[in-house]
Amino acid sequence: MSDFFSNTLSLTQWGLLLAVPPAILILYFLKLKRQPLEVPSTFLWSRTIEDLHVNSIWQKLRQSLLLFLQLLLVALVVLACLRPGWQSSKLTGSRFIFLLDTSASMGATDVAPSRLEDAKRRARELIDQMKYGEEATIMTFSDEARTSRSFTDNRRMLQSLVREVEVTTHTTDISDALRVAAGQANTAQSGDPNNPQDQRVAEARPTTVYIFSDGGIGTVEDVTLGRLEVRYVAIGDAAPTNVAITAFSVDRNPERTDELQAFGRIENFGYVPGEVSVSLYLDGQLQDAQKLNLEPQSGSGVQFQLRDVEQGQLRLVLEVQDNLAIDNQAFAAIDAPRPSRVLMVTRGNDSWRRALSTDVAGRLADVAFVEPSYLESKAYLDESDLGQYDLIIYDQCQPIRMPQANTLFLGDLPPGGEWSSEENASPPAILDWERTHPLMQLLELGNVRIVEAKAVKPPVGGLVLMDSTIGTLVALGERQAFQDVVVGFGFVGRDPAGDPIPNTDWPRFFSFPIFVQNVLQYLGNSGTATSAPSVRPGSPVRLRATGSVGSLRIVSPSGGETTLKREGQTGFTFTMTDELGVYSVYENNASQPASHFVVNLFHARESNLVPAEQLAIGSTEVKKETGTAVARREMWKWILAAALVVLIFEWYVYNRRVYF
Amino acid sequence: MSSPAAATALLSPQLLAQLEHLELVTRKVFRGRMKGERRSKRKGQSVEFADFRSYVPGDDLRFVDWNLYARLDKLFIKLFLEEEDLHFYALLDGSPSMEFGDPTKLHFARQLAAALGFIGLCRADRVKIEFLGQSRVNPGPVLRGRKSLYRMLEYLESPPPTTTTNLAAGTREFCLRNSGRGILVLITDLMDKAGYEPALRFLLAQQMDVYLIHVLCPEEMNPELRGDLKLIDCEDRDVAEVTASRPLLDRYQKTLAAFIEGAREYCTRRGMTYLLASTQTPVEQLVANYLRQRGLVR
Repeated sequence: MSDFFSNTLSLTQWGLLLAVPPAILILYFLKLKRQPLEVPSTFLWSRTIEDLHVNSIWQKLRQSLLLFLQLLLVALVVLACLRPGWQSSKLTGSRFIFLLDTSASMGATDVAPSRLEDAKRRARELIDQMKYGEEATIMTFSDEARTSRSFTDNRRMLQSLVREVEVTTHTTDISDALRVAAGQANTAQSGDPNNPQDQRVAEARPTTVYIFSDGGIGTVEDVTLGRLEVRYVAIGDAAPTNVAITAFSVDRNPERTDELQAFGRIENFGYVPGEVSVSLYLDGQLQDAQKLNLEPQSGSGVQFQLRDVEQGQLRLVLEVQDNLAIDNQAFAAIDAPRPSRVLMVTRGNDSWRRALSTDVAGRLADVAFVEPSYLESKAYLDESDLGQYDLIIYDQCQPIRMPQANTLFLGDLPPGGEWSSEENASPPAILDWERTHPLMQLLELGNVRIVEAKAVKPPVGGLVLMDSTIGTLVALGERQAFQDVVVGFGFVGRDPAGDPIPNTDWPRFFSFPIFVQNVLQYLGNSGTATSAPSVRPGSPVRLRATGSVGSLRIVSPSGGETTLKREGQTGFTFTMTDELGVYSVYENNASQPASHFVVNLFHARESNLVPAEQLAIGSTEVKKETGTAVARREMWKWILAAALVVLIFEWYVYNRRVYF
Repeated sequence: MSSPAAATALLSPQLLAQLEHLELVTRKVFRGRMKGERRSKRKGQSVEFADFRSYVPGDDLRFVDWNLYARLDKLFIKLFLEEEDLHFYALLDGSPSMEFGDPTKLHFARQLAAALGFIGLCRADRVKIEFLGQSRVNPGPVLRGRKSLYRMLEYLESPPPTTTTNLAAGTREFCLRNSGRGILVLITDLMDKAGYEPALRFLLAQQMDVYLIHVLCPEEMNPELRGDLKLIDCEDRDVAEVTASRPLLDRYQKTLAAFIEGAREYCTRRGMTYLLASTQTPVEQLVANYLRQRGLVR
């Protein structure tokens, strides 16, 4: 019974309230000063009353209907003051964290009006239950955690904080939020243990965290809950419907270079089969459409051919009514192919010169050839510092300092000492190469012979691309935003007379021009020139521009503009990628966009709306709280409404004297 | 004193003009005392021809039809219908309960009595108007002829006798003093706790042509009561405590309807004519329509 009622009044207030019914009774007995009225005759009235006296008990009841209604009204008010309600689980503990999932999947409409609104409603119901002295805070998480403010017992403020929570387009990662929450509950984990300046914001105490989520969080590792008690309130319908685009890309047809291919993957995450229509729009114009029949829990691919398209913005649209709308669109952008700028520093290397002069290579890159003496000129230094080139190939020479560009060293090492090599050895035999790496794909090197080479050792974090009997022959190293590839042998050797002789027969094999093309595409960045990069919402985008560009203006899909100023030599980083769609990048004050990038959800876990039955947090499994019973259901509003009805009825009876 | 103001108060000139064309009718034919304007059973002298009969010696020769004698050579006497007067009694209930309503029931009764009396006066009937409980020493006037209009109105304007008397006693007193036959119109509200039956029984015994005009005011027919009330009887100060409510008022309506129906049935069974009149009904309409339908006037 104590659960059913919740006292809201003090003793004095109760005394006053309970004095009302006796007062009504006293007033009722004291009442009735009958108004005298002279009539021609009481003859008929006496007869009438005599008839009524026959059923005088009913008569009395009728007379006291008003009294009854008044007492009922007071009883209802008293009942409302007791705040009756019920619940299956109470808020336990004295400190709470209400952790709301704001990831993209919470925008689903399988529970009206949306999952997030449902979560907010349940959170507010729990806040209503908080008693005096209990404190709580509101946290939200998508792919990052946000704490609204420190713990407070101000329920109204908590309510308004919950009301302000809005859904994002981000993916889900609860671990940060759980770490912060665990930090609030456990002294030792509060803040950063390595930082003596880090001060705890709140005293660590046992805390209950209520997670309002649809559970698409996967398994959370590396979180120790300690004294943090986790309760999981599952939001969402058990059988939602959702068809999503989980991938969409555009690429040039390798067989027909004037044709573009758009690939999409459509998945049905619901439990009912359905027919969906997929439409492809180019710059808002419908290009093509396909119909797909999707079995439950299965996917299918779509492919569109686009001819004679140099640039534009593509939008793939699923025409289907499902619970999550955000994943029914995907975007891609085609930038006009921009040949990369390549500088080759060589004393003369016929095989490379020929390989870089083919039509294919010409489409991929503008290649300039210079002598090694050019490396000492001021023009080179300016160009290399400002990043005029995408790729510089140093053929058996090395610059004074590393340029702001990707580099390929043939038979020599980058300056600076991070790379090292061993003495020349011969003849090395190629043992293995990294076939999956874009640089080495489609190569067959087993029969390549090399006269002499030296094993190279990349800096920390480097990647070995080719191994031989004498050690690493080709390796890749990262340098800020750039990549350096070192080939441990030159293509041109010198005979004792100093005349050039071939050092390897690799140029005679098919694999050589393919390697050169891989170099141009991968290191020269020309392979990605057709399709703009795609990132997930909230992820940062690295943008590169030539050194003469001081600022970038980025226009979001909805038209918002952001200007980025160059910071150092590393390029630009854009982080406001909350909006799905195509972003345009303008260099300096250009009127035409230099490039594009797109933001797409493409996240199967967000698109799969089936709420998780349990959360796996470290070694703990948290089962979902059952149904809606987690919150206390209050009746007092209904009781007050009933009291109002009684009041209106009493007023009506009083005025009309309508007794039944 | 004849006063034109009284005439206007009770009977408007238009009503008077309307009433002049009417006459009182009785279903029974009574013998009057004086020659009047009313056909009687008796044949006699008048202008209305009735029949012929053979002359027998002793007949008045003035009535011999000489034209017929010239043709048939036989003597025939022309018979004419005798015209006689009619006794008309109007008996008014002047009890305090009649003072209710707007206009009061008493005023309405006075108007009605005046209208009927005027019709009688115009037709040279014998008209007698009295209040119930009129003392024996000071009875109501007996009137005849149009010139008596103002006397009649003067009497009607005078206050009713103050001696409280119930319906039965008043009627009995009246019957003892007026034994003649004729039309009797009793105008009352029947609000007598002893019941109206004894009173009507006295009238029945007179073998008169009795009309009972039951006058009720709207306050009695559709009482608009509100709240908790102590109802006081204006005659005997009897008290009835009621709390006005829709069911109570509904029940009152039923009681009233039963009361009216009882009176109507009582009268109908005994050959009396019952007529319920609301004070809201104009007297002209009552006389011209309802009383004409009931056969009291023509």
